[in-house]
Amino acid sequence: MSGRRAAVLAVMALAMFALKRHYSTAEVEDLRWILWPTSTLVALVSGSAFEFERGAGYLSREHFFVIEKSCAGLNFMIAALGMIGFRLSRDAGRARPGAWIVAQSVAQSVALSYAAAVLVNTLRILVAIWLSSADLPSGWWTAPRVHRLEGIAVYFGALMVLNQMARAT
Amino acid sequence: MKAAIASTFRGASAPLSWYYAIAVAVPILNGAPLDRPFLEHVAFVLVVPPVVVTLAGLFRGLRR
Repeated sequence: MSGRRAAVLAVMALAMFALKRHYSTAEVEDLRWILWPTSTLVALVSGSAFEFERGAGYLSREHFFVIEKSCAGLNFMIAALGMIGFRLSRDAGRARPGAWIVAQSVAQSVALSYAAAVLVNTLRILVAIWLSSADLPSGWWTAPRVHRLEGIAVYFGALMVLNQMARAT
Repeated sequence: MKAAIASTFRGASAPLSWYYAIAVAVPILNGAPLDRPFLEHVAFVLVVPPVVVTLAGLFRGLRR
């Protein structure tokens, strides 16, 4: 393993650790850097207003839906950061000498994982709002279970698409 | 069809590994209580992604 690749992987691991630590201790107010763009996009696409409620998150009174801390998509962003960073670190290892390639790989990974987290979370929330009005839950399939199934399918499907995009570039 | 599904699983090894690591391994390492709600979460996380991969493989197989 080249020194440059090791450097990219080390910085990426530190970034993932810092994000996870931030997420575990953050209040919803501390997560506005990711919740605000997500709620703005959801509001734009759905045409419903989302207002920030202290201690709760972004609330849609129309849909009776709250984009709260657990809806932030941070775990998806961390997984995407690791996956993209690991892929880009290979290119950094093969590239011509230059310390800038390490910074470039890290910056690209962080930017891509953040953009992906906002977009994918927007999609997940839009589908969740639609599902909540579709009256699907019945028997064992309660509303939280349907919500969980949808979240895992959307997040994991998006990781697969991101992986394909990273491999293609 | 089997070949398309197998190829999709091979291509999905990275997302599967990262998703399982973040959604299951990290919470366990952080001391998440192994109670019923968490075990149900783990069951969903373990089962749904392979279903998604299989559906993606079926879709790829049908497009060929």
